[in-house]
Amino acid sequence: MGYVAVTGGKEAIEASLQHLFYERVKHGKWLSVETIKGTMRGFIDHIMSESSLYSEDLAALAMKQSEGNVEEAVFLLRAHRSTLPRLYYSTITDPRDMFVHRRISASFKEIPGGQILGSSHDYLHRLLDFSLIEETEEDVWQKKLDFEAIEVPEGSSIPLEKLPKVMDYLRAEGLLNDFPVNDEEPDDVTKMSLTFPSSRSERLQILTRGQTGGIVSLGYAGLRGYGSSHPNVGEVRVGEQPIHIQLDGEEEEYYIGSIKLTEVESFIPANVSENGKEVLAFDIGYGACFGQNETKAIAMSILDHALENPEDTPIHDEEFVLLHVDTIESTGFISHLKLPHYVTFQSKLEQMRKIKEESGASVNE
Amino acid sequence: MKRPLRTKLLIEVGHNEAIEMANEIIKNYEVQEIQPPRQGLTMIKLRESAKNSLFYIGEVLVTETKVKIGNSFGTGIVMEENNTLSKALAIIDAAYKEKLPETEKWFYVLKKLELKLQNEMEKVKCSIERTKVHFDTMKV
Amino acid sequence: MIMHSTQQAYRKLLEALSFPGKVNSVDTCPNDFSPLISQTGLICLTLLDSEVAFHVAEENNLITETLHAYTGSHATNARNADFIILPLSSSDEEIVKKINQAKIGDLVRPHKSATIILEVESLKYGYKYSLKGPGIKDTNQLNCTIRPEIMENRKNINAEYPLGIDLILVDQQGYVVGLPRTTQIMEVY
Repeated sequence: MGYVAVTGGKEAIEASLQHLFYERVKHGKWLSVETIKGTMRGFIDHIMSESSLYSEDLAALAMKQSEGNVEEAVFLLRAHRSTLPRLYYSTITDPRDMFVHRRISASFKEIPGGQILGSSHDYLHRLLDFSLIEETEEDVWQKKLDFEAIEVPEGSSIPLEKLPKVMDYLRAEGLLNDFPVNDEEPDDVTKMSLTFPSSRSERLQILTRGQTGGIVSLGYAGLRGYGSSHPNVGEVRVGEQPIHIQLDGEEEEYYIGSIKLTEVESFIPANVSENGKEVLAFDIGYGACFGQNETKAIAMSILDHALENPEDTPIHDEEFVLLHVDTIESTGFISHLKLPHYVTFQSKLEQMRKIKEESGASVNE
Repeated sequence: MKRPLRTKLLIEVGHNEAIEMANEIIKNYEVQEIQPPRQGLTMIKLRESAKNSLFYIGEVLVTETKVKIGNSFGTGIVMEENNTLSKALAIIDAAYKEKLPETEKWFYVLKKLELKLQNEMEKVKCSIERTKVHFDTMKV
Repeated sequence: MIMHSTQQAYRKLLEALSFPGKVNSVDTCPNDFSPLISQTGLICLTLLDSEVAFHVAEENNLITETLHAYTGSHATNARNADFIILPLSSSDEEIVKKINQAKIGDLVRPHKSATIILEVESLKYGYKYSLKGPGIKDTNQLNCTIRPEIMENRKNINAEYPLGIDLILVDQQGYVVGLPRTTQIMEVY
C-alpha cells in the first residue's frame, strides 16, 4: 500500500499547540513540581511503574507537563529515557533486603513479624472528604506535626529491614515447589524485541512495565474463568529497596540509593513430580513493580503463573498477553488511527460504491 | 568502614558532610574532572522468588561523576539529578582510593552519621510497628 | 563540549566505513589517552560505552584503565571484545594473533562481531593496495604501512560473508581509513 504525503497543516498545528498550552494555564493557577512530588504519590508511583523509569522528580514534571494525563506522562518519560545512556546495571537486588513499610498475608494469620498494615487506602470508607476543599497550607503543617507528635512505643521489636517471607512457611513444611538459584543473565526487552516463545525474564519485564489497567483487566479475566490460576495472596510487601552497583575491577559494592517497591507472592496449588511420584505442592505466582501498586502486582502474579502454564485460553497465551499490555504500544497503535487515512478510506469507499452500483444494476435488470 | 555503608550514610543522611569532605580535598589536592556530572540510567536486576531467576524491573535515573586524584579514579553515583552530591561522592571515593590522610579522621564523621541513620530508622520502625494487627478471637 | 567532538568523529567514521580507502581527517582528542594516537582516543570516546566491551593489546593496563574511566566500557579479552584496540607498538605477530581471536559474529547475528581499531605508521605511503567492493566505484587505491601478511589474514577471516571483522585504521598524522568486511583488498606490485 502506498502512502501519499500531504502538506498544509503547519499553521493549523502551531495554532493547535497554542490552544493546548493555553489549556494548562487558562485558569491562572499554578502548581510547582515540588508540590506535585509532595502530594501526588499515587500518580507518581503509577507512571514510574508504567514508564519503567524510576525518578520521582521526572515523574512529577511529566505530570505537570501532561496536565495529569497518564498516557501522555508515560509517553514523555519513555521518550526521555531513550535519550539517556545506560551507565550501570545493579547487582542482584533481592526484596528480602527490603526495608518493609507494609506487609500482609491473606494466607496465614500468624506470620513472623505479623500483619503490618503500613499505609494503605484499603481501610478507608471511600467517602469524599469535603474538608479538603478548604484545606490550607497551615492545616497541612498542623496535620504533619500532629502525626509526628504521636507517641510511639520505644524500641522496635520487628526486624523490618530483614523481614522473613511468608513463603518460607510453606518451604519449611515441604509444601513449596522450590527451584534452585538461577543466576542466568536476564534478557532485556528494551534492547531486543520480543520473539516467541519468550523467556521468563522477558515476560516479567513486560508485565512489570505493563499498563496498570491492562494488567489488572487481564488478571481479573483470568480469575473469572478465562484462566485457571486462582491464587491465594501469600504475601504483599511494600517498602524501600536498597540498590547497589559493582564497578569494574573494584571489590566493594557501591550504594546508590533506595527505591519504593511492591512485591507479591501468590500461592497456587500445583502437581509436582517428586521421585517419580505426583505430589501436591504450591507454585508461586510472582509480581513486583516500582512504587506502591498493589493491585497491579497481584494481577501480575496471576498472569505470571498463567503464562508459566500454557493452556488454551487467552490469559495463558503469551502472545495474547505480552503483545497487548504495553502502554506505549497499545495507546500508540490505537491513536495512530487518528492520523489521516484519506487515501485508504477513499479506496474502500470507491469499492463499496462500485459494489452497490453493480448490485443495484443487477436488481434493475 | 566499607564502601557500601559509607556511600549509604552519605547519600541517606550525610549530604552536607559529603560536600564538606569534598571541599576539604579540593582545597588541598588537584582534582581532575574525568566525567563532569551527567545523568544516565542504572538498570535494576531483581531476584524473583517463584523460580529464583533474575529479571530487569526497570531503570533508575542517576547522576554520575568521575574524578581523578593522583593515580586514583573516583566515581560518584546518586539517584535523581544531583550534580553537587554526585561530584562530592566522586571526590570522596578517589580520596579513599588514594589513601589521603584526610580520610582517616572522616571515620568519626561517618560513625556519627551511622548513629543518625540508625536513630532515624528506629523511629520509622517504631511508628510502623503501631500498624501491626493484634488478632483477638471474637466471642460467640 | 566533548559531545560535539564525538558527534563529528562519528560522522567521519561513517564516511570512512561508507567509502573504504578514503583518507579522512579526524580531530584530536581533548583528553590525554597517550600512548594512543590522539585521534584513536577520540574514536574510542565515540564508540565505547558501558554497553560494550573492549580489549587493548598492551603490556600494562595503562590505556585500559584510562579508557574504562572515560567511557565506562568494560575491559575484556580479545575473544569477547566488541572493540579491539591495537596501538602502534603492537608487533605484527600480536596483530595477527588478536584479529584471529576476534569475534566474527554468527549467521543470525553477524553484527555481533568485533571492530578492530588498528594504529599504523602511515596511510599515505607504504605498500600499495587496490580496494574493491561496496562503496567503491571501480577500484580505490590505498597506500599504507600495513604488511601484506596482515591483509592476507584479514581476507581469510572475512572469507564467509556476512561473518567477519571491520577495521578502522588510524595513522600517526591522525588520518583515518575504514575497511569494512565487504572490501576486497589486493596488493599491487
